[in-house]
Amino acid sequence: MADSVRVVGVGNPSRGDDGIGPAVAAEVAIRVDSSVDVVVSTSDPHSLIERWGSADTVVLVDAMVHGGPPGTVTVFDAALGPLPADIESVSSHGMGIPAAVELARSLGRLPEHLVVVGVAGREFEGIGMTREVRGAVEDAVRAVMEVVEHA
Amino acid sequence: MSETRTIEVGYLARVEGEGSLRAEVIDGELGNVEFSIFEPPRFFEAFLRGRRFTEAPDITSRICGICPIAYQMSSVTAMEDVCGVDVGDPLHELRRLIYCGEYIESHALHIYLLHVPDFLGYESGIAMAADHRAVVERGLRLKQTGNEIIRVLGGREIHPVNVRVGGFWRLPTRKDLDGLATELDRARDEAAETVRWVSQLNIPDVTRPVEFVALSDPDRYPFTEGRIRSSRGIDIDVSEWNEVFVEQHVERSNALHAVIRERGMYAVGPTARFALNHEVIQPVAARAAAEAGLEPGVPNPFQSIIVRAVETLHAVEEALAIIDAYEPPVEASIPVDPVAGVGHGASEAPRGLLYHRYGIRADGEIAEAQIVPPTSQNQLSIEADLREVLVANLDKPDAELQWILEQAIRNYDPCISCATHFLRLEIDRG
Repeated sequence: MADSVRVVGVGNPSRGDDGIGPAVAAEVAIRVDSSVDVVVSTSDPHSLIERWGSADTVVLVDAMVHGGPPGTVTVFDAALGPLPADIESVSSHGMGIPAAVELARSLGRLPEHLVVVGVAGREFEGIGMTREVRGAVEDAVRAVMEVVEHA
Repeated sequence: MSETRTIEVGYLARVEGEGSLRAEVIDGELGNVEFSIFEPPRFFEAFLRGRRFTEAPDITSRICGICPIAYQMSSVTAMEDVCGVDVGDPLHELRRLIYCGEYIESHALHIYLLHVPDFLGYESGIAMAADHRAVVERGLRLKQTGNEIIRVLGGREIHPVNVRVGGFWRLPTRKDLDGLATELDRARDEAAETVRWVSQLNIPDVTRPVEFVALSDPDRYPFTEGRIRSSRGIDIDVSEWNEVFVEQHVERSNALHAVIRERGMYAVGPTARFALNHEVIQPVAARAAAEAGLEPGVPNPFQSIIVRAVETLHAVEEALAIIDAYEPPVEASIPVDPVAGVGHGASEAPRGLLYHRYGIRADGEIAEAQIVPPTSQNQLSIEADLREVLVANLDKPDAELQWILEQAIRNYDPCISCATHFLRLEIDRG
């Protein structure tokens, strides 16, 4: 396992299914050793570029507005091309995570390996996730661990 | 047979929220021009009712992810007004410091990633970054400096939680502030370079006389200080806003349009603020403005990008000065007991004047709330600019015309999500 691996759970637990990122990060934190840095980010996507710092491998976990039935887990490898634009953004002002990733690509600041684990959400209001998305936590954690263990 | 040419942008990019633009040209003559806001109404004024007066800063800061400090400052000022409380200079200075952070992050974002691409012919900041990497990196570093101020003073970068009626929940340590000063020292050169850089852009020569409205203070470039003044003689206390201005509902927009009761449209924002306060801006920023050839009060909306750069430099200098002179307040906040009555608060958000008015009951429950954000005050002025730009460029092909129209809208850095917080939804059921 490489020593510069960072998992970033992106999202806001007060926005319904947007809480999936922090929920997955909390579970991953229990299963990895101290060489893997696990953080939660509710900050704006521009700051994400700073957030992944110098890590070689970064896994972002976030909710998606579209992306199949609620709870569907999709894994995107940023090296393979632009991310779909409809991954949910926790921020405003017209820039979400896909745009932040593409900005980093333009600036030559993508980590060596950047994977986005997206979970399709249904409701983005209120505290707590929907049943479907809660039920997807384990699948999303497995997807993250897959990347972490092969880093 | 008449020929109608329609220029339509169904969904405006690089603005916050959901808006559209439609312009009609019939037989070479300009017809309707509509800047429409279709983002759904958000009812903040309604759900403030019945909440504690102390909750207003946290609730209203949720109106906007990019200018939450403005909402917090207008709301705490209004609540302290109704309760007859003055927090005193040391706490007031910390409020100015966190507001500096908001100016730096908001202006840097708009200049570098949202607006400059228009001037340089790129469809997005991302496309521009590939060719102008060092420049975009500079913008992101500046923005991060602003974010860091908000994180240190506000507890976190987005929707900060450390501001309260009466002051703050927790004071920063000297070490926190020294860390900020180190970053601000670096940002000073970057902000100065930003002014030089944007002043070399090809600024369209479009002037349209408009009445500028802003807070204005004889001593300091205003954040929460001063009276509401205009370039045509308005000079009122903040509490008189509703006597001089009025909000109107317009069918095509989910945001109320604010106008001067006697004469209609006006403009708020950096250009208005600079026009009415340039004499008290930080000297370094004043010199940079002069070197950039920026004359206060010139009603060219496309110059707003230069004013934003000047204000960014001002905010960096101001933040350094506040940290340098910082004397910790005795307490993080002073107690504020509710008093039945009506209070008013205004502050200069990065996009312009943000007015709040609250009625509270003796037990501290909010009875009524009125929030007038900058974008709802600027809508008519935006449309008037669009007409001006259209008339001057009717000979251009649609794609080129659309480009300059979108650029003209971004002159105002409109925040559509802020503008649609309003309550008065009218449903016509026949």
